[in-house]
Amino acid sequence: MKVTRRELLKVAGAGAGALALGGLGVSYLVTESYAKDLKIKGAKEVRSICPFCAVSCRFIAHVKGGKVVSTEGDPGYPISEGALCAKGATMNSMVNSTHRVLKPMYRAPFSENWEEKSWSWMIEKLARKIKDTRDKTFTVKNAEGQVVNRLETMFHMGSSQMSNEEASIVVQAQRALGLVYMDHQARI
Amino acid sequence: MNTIAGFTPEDIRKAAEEIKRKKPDFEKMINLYESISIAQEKAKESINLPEFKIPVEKLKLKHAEKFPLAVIPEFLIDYKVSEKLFMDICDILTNTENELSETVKNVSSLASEKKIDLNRIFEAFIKEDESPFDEIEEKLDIEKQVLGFLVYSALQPSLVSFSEMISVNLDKDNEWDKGYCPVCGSMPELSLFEENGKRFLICGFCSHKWASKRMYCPFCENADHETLQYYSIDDEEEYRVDVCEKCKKYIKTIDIKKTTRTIYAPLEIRSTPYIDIKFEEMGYKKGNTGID
Repeated sequence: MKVTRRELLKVAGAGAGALALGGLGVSYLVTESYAKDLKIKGAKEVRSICPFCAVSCRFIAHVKGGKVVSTEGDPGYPISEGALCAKGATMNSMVNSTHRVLKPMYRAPFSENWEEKSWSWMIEKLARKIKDTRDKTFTVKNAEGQVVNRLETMFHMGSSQMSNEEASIVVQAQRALGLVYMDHQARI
Repeated sequence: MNTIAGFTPEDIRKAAEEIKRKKPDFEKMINLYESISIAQEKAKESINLPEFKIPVEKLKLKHAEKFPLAVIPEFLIDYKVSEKLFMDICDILTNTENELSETVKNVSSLASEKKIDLNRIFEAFIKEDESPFDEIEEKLDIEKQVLGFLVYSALQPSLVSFSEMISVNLDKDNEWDKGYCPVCGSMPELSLFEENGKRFLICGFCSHKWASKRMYCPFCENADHETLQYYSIDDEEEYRVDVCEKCKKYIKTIDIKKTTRTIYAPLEIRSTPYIDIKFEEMGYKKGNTGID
């Protein structure tokens, strides 16, 4: 190797090793065969946000061939500094779990089987149930005769996987129906 | 976790043993680096540096403005300790069977006979003046590269001590978001993931270790995840190689959470030359080669 000016510090620095110095007890062939046998797998790190609660801890997803293979907390996020809670630490299994529901599933009353349904069928079914329940049980006045306009027979469970804007629309829709019982999934 | 400073000879021996057990083919090479590292750590204890005369305010200003605290020619060295260490390292390399032993034997006797003026080449190395090295190569037929390696190895305890001494002026509370060393401006040689995945970089020249951003290329500061990638290595779970498709450079990374081995960075840097061959064959360049 020809060493030019200012190159000296480069080749002599901490990284100068056996390669630059002719082996230092290891033949180049051995090193080369190690290199040849080296099995490597490429992956990417993609930053994302934990969907489980409003702290929104950042995490790093390790992605191989388009699939998430592992997740870890992002040390660059100032709130959690790379730490994750028990739920956030299971991010990888949430993404890759075989139990993860990917399509709308319906179990008819008294049936033991789940059936796969389309979104339009499911939305229609939900709308029907909500309308029927509300029509049957809507409370206009309370025991004292005061107008309350509330629906006490339905409960809405929110999701921390919703954005702020989605959550706002959902709450407005539930209030419009007269719902008073609402809570958030992150609290349970 | 300790990965660079304050290692006792026992710690270094332990770290070296663990590498040798895993890679028996590299035993001779690791033995050499182990002995050199132990000699360097021992020499470091008796380093006595002259006073660094740059005012603290100036250093703090340089740091705040993202300049390294010192340029390499400003580094102070302990000539006496370096001279003794130079001869000790020559002995280590002469007394074992390796490709350099003949040349080093020659260097050692030339230095004893004062035909090579060690203080002059030490100073020339620091001042980045290569003419004495060219002169020796021409007249005495000593490869510049070999002499450079010996000089750097002999100066290493001074360089590290000087770096430690002035690094107290760094603002440790704020992450250094540049890819070059905040102390000397050189590029990093090794990347480490420590507790909670926190990334640290180790300078290829003065061995300073600094906290760094996790997802970015220290060589071109590219932070776009589409053009950053890493390769994990089978059978060496703690190792990965981070590559940047933008500047085509790579850096070795050790995730210390994935191993129970004692990680002594200087040995790790030098015990994986096959990774360098592999990635250079793949078209990447080693990110650090000392200074750029």
